[in-house]
Amino acid sequence: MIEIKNIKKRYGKHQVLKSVDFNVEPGEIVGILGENGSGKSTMLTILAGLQRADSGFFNIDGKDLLKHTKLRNDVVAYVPQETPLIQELTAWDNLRMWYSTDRLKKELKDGFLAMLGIDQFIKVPVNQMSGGMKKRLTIGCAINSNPKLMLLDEPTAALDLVCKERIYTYFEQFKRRGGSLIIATHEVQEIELCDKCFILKEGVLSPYKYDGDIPHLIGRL
Amino acid sequence: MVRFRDYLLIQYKRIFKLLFGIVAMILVVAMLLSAAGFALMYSDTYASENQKYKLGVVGDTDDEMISLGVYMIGTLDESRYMIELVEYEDEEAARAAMRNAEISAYIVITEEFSDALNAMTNDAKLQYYATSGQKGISNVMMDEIALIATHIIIYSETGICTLRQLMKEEGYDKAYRHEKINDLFMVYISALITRTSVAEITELGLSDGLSTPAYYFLGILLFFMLLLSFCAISYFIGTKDAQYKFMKSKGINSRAQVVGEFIPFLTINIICVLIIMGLITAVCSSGMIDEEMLASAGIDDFGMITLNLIPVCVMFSAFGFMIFELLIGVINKILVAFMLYIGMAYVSGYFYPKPFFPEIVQRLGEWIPSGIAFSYMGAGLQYEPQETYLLIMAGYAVVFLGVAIFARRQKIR
Repeated sequence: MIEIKNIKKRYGKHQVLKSVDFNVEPGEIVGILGENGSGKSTMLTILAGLQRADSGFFNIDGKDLLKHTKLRNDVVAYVPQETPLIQELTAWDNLRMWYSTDRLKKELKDGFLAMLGIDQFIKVPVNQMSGGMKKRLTIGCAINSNPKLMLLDEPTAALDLVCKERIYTYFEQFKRRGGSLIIATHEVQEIELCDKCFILKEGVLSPYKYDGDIPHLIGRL
Repeated sequence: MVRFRDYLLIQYKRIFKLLFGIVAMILVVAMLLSAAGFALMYSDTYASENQKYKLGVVGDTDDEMISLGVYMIGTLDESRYMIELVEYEDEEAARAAMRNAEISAYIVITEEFSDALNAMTNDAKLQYYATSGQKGISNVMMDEIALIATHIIIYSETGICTLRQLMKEEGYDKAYRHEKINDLFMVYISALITRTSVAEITELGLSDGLSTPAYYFLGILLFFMLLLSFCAISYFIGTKDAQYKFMKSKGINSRAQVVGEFIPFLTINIICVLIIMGLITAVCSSGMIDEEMLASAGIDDFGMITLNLIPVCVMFSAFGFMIFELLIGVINKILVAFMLYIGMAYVSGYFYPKPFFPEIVQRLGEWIPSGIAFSYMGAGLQYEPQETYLLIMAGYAVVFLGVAIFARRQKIR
């Protein structure tokens, strides 16, 4: 069980996050919706340990990950919106940083990396890859430690439908294995994939049940 | 959990992928600077250890006073150490010579000027022409040359002219006046000849006790060291904040990131220094450069120079790393870094000897990283203690890396 309680963050006079409270069950996908600049990315970066919260808790199995940095690095995977890959190197080189050679070969043969289709472009340098390839490779790099939770910042923005489908299939597999996902998104397909959604507005997170009514969703944002 | 070693290895892999481009760029820069250095070392001025600026003279120099003035400047006056007068038949020829950089400036002696001179008036001025952007050190010397040009009628001649005029007014006849004036000239010239032997001129070099070739050799070498980090700019292009954030989320903090990227960057820079110094040593050993001249300038021990360059390389690499970390955008990085390097090199006297600058600029130039590097290398060439400079350079390197770590931390947030 993942508990996120009373997370607050202020930049100068601007209170970006006033109170963020929610729980995530194992095998659950949680969607965070909100306008651009509403604080979705800030929330994810706090959970990923990139910046400090002014207050709050982020507990997994009773341990506060805001304090246990090393544990957080192992159990939480963060996939940023932009590509974090090393451009000059191939997919293999990028993955090799996070995986041992034996494990990498195994994952590419019949593991999650094969499921993401990374084996098909393993020798391609990142600067010659399509957006979809980069995103799949980023996810591949992020999940090296078999995380319990994945934090994804607009994971399929600007990707083609085939690529999106492949990534969603992977999310389903990850979920089936008991992993949890928190996705900051604007994509309707991703919202439909979520088990529960929250809208982040004026620093406050409130539950939202998506029923296919897009005008209503827009009105809430 | 990824270890620092893995991050370091991946950065080594990354920079070695860029190695060919970096080395190619460094070789081009080294070749250009070598050409400049070769020209400096082998120009006539430096070969004779006596830098002179050519000043064209156009017009009637037959006048007794003017011809004597020209003679004095060329042979007896102290300005002969820095000025060489070249006579031209007309202004067009002088102007063409100036365009071709054969002379630094020219003066035109008009008939009105000669008349005014003989009439003991100051109605007509000597006309002095110079370009606004003359090459090399002549820019700095321009005021000095103009001053000397106005002294083409030197002070003593003014006195002689005055005496001749007074004698004329007092009614002495022409033959008597000529005889006395000639006597006075002879006394004056004897005095000048005697006076020149009261001082012994010893060449101490341009600055810091270095000889002229050693000074410019160091200036060019250190400017190359500054440009070294600039040549590896491709290492800093293509990285994005998302990469830093991702690494941090995987346990590699900003300090580990900066150190892990700096070490390969420094390695490449040191490899390039070794390549370039190896080439310089090979060229000097092949006899293309006069070894005697190098030895007399104190730049014969290339092993020692290379060794001394390593701490400089560390400091300049840290400085370059900090600059590229602080600046955002490719164009910005290139432009600002280049302007900064040029400015630092200029102020620290890499291109012009420091004594030409105002006192405050000299002090600033000595204490900025480029100035400390110059003092450190200069001390090395003269076998003087370098420990203080070494400590300052180490301090600078730590500060630069500290600032880079701070900047990276801000990017991650």
